[in-house]
Parts: sequence; C-alpha cells; structure tokens
Amino acid sequence: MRIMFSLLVAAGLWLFNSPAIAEQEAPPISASIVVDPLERSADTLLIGIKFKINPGWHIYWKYPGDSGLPTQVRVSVPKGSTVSETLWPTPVRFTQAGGLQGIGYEGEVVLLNRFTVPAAVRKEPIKIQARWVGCSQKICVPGKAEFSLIAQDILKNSAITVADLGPWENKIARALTDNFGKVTTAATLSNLNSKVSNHELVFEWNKAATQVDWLPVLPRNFKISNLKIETLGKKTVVNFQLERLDSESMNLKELEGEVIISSASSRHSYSHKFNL
Amino acid sequence: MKGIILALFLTLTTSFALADTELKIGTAAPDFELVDTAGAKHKLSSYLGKIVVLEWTNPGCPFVKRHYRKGTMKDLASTFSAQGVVWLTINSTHYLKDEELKQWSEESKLSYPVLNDADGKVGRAYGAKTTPHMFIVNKDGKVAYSGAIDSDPYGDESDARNYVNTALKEILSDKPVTVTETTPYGCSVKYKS
Repeated sequence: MRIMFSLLVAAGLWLFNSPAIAEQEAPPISASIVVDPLERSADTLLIGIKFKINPGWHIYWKYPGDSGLPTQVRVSVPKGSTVSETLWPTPVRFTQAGGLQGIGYEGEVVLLNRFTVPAAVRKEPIKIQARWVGCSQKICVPGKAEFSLIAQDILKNSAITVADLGPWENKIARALTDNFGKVTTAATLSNLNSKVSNHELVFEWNKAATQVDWLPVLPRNFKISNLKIETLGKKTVVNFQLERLDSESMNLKELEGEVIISSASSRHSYSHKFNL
Repeated sequence: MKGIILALFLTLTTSFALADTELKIGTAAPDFELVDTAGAKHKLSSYLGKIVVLEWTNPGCPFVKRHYRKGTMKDLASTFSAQGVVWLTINSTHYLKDEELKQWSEESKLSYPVLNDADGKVGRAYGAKTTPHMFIVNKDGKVAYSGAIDSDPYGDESDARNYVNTALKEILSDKPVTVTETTPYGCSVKYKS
C-alpha cells in the first residue's frame, strides 16, 4: 500500500496589489518545496525551496546589491533536530532600472537546507517560511510562503514528488582551498575615518583566470563602493571601499565573499572570509 | 627570421560604480526646483532656515503602499509640520505622469506636495536608490540623514525603529543625529534609462 505522503503545504502568497498605474500580472514568483530522496542517512534530509521566477523578474541573494531585500528563509525544527544555514547557489549580477546593480536570481533557483531529524521526532512538523521581493524593471512584489513537513513521511516515501538536488548543490560556492587558489593579501589600505576604510584583496589562482567576479556579503547598514576587480594571468586584485552607515553598529571584524571564476563553458565559485 | 613570440596576457578590469551620486552626510544638499501636482514650484534653497524631509516615492511600489496604508509618512509629516518641518515627496519614476501623481495625492489625502522629477535629475543628484528613500536637510541646507524610513523592511517587527522620527526629534532638540545613514529598502527607483 502506498503510504500517503502527508506533505502539508500552506503556501500563502502575500501579494501586494500593483497599482492601477502599472498593469497587474499573475504572481511572477512562486515557491514550492522539493525533497532530495538520495540523502545520506536515515536521519538526514536535504530540502530545497524552489523559486520559479518569470522572465524579466528577479529575486535577491543574501546580499542584494544597491537595492532590493535579501530573500529570507526561516526554519523551525522539532526539538533534538538540527538544520544547517541556508545554502545559496551562486547568484548573478543584474542591472536594474536606472543603472542600479542587483545580485540575485533569475529563471529558477533552489535554496537548500540540510536537516538531521532523529527517529524520536520524525512525526513532528518541520516548518519552513520563505520571504522574498521579486522585481522587474517596473515594479517590485513582495512574496511569502509557508510549509509544514513531516519527516517520517518524507523518509518512508522517497518516490513522492522529489527531485535530485545535486545540480543545485553543485552551484553552491565551495570553500576556497589551495586546490584552486588562495587569498595572498587581505589588507586595509587606509582608514579615512572611523566609518570608512579602503581594502585590497589579492587572489592567486592555480590556473590563469580570465573572468573573475567578487561578491561581498554585507550586513544591513554597511555599504561597499568603488569596487574594482582586476585580473591579470593567475592574479586577481580586488579593491573596494567599505563604509559603516549606522553609527551604532560595530565595525565588521571579518567579511565574507564569493569569488566567481567564469569561462565560456564553466562557472566556479568559491567562498571565503577574511579579517578586516 | 627569428620568430617573435608574443606572450599575450589578458587583463580584465571590471569596475562597479553607481550611476548616481553618493551624497555625503554633512554636505550641502543639492538645490533643485520642481513642480508639484498643483502646479506650484518648490525650490529647495527657498526653505533655508527650515528642516526639510525629502521622501522618494512611487505609489505603485508595495513598500510605499504598505507605509501609506499604515500612515507612516503622513503621521510623521503631520506631527512635525506643527514644528515647522517641511515635507516634500518626490517622484523620479520616469513613466508616472502628473495626473497619476495628483490622483494618488488626492486619494491619499496628502497634506504635503508631490513633486515630479520624471527625468530623474534630482533623484540622481541625491543618489536616491529606492522607494521609499528618505533624506533630511537641516536648517543650514546640509544633509543630516539619508536612508530607510525605519528598520523594518518586511513590516512585521513590533519594535521597529523609525529613523526619520528619531532624527527629526534630535535636530529639533539641537542634538546631534545619532543615526545619520542607513541602508534604504524598497523598490528600486525606476529612472529613465
């Protein structure tokens, strides 16, 4: 007997009406849950939130760029369970109306979380909430979706609406290790005042790189400007100015970033942190 | 003939810079003259000696709509107008026409003018990135605050801080503004490309 998979999906899309001024479209972004059936042990789960994004629209990465809001994933798990931080596939840059730079996703993306759910609590719900802002060149639309999952049913019925999330795992930045290259310099060049400082990062690669991008992960109320990325052979130099906007925030002690190396046929991303 | 081997090095330099100005706190607010939906002209420098709040808006933006449903800006404008604060709402969305802005102003029962900057020159001069994006200009014509209206982009925090409210109170009490700049949130300003 096929075991019914009790996947409770309470997807409430909170859609703010677009005005009479701009045409209302059907929700441009939808969110759904996908579960990877090939997970590694009986206690672990790899669950993704899949965003389908209409052409001409985008949602934002954990650092959105000049405007927009980071997509948010909030998870609550049964006592004794664990959940990883959300795993973000490497985003793309896009240019918004007026030349404002954004960082995020177009088309489709799956944000992942890894869960460990012991046998004793597999009948208890895992709750996942996603919030996002989807924007086109003309309008932005906030969205929200909530899901409640029962781990026991997911584990017993691996044939139910599932997907191989391996391809999305492969799009997550790997930690920068010596196999690929390293940060040889992470320097504060100058402190203009207590809030503004200039920095330089130097990456040295094992192979010559032709197209390198660097994406910072900034908390709110910090700003990066004058970002310049120069690649020559096996060396990439990143210069930027970091500014703390809010006088009440502490200065950052370390900065996280993703460096993306692209060619005509491939795109590899590496995450790293460095002390400021 | 000796063969000459040329070693070609590919140098790729990428620079990222905003198309707009980044206003510095404490510098002179760029002067401008814009016309409001009633046809009246507003020149910023004519308000020298007064505190001026500039609110970048787009009536179609969900973030603006949420704040106008809640009365965030209207309540602030009303509270502080009694203390001489001038509130100017500015549109830099290139496709919005005067009639549409006028309709929105009337439907929202705004007590402050809506200025049309459809060509985006003033927005770019200020580096306005989002709607809303708030600026406070001090009595001496200098920028005292730039950024978000509050600390609650999704509108669901019970203890959200209203940065504009706090800054205005501090300025009116002759105290330094403690939070002079924050990251604005909202829809990107739809400038003419």
